[in-house]
Amino acid sequence: MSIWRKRSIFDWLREIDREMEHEADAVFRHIKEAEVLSGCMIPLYDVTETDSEIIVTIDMPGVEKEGIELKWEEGSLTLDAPCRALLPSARGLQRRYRLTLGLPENVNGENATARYRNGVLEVRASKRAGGGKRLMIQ
Amino acid sequence: MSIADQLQDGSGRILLEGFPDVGLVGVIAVSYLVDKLQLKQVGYIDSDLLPSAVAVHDSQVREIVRIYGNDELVTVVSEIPLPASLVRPVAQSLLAWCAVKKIDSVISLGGLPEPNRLDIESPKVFVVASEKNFGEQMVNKTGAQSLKDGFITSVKAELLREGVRRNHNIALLLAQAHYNYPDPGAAAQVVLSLSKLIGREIDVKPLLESAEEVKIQLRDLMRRTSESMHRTQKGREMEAPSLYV
Repeated sequence: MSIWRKRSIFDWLREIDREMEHEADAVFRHIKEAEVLSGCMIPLYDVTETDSEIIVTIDMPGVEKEGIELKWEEGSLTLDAPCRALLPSARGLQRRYRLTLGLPENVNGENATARYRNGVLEVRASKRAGGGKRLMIQ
Repeated sequence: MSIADQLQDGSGRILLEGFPDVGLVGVIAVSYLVDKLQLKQVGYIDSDLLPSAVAVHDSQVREIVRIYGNDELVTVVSEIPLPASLVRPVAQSLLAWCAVKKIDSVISLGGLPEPNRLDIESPKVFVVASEKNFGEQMVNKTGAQSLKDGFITSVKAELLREGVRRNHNIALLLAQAHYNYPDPGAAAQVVLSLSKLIGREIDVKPLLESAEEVKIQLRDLMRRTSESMHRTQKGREMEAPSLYV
């Protein structure tokens, strides 16, 4: 004998929520694991692309500008910065931020500029002019 | 969905909502007010759609969506971003509960995503209200600007919509904020606007002084909130409405 129960809209909603939470959870778990394994805090960051440049912002409060080590290598941006000792560091992590970001190849890191303001680091780099053929409008 | 509380009925009170959202402005502002005004926990919100989780603070088990209050203010805060499927039920239940508890108005505190936030020293605060006269009162009392055009999403949108339908005074106080970084500077501006509204001076210096600590402490919640904001189309708040009527 089979037991059949009509699924309500809430069953569907719960299921969708659970699936999405599950995927998000996996991402957050990987971030926390990476933090524990490296012993460093992975800062929040965002990458925005305009027609002409790439703008990377990184939220890393409690840092002295002079202590930030930023390296742009072909295709990636690496950050290493100590965080002020007076700040509470999360769950035994070192008071240090570390992050490596993969970036598009068409970005010219040579002329990148960076500024640190109110706890947020902003890095801007222009994109290399692409070749391509100009199309005539008839 | 249920709301359990030990709050006495009484008119003249304001409910402050600060669910996790843009820059966690509402979370930071409401948590600061709970601490500063020493509000006591008077209830909680529960639902089958909430994850099976509790918070532990100072060795004490706490509900994840909690209500604090006194004779003047009632606040609702959450340790987690609201699941998308809970946004509407929470807004509807909160307003039904406000009617029972005779809470006159609901002020929702939050951030307005500002891509140029890095260049803004003192974020502006904007007001959106469910009713024109109430909105004008809010503008006059707080000194904030009225938001002329834009989109509001998630629980704030549902509160406004329900407010219009139920003829309940709802207003949003939104400060220009980082979209996905905790923004104590924006929260301080919202607290200052609110202090003008309730006619009570609230010093935001301690909040600004502990900004770095607050930002680090809220990193994980911000990550989860950013992910949740994608699901509630929060990015729309940077768009202009499509229709011109």
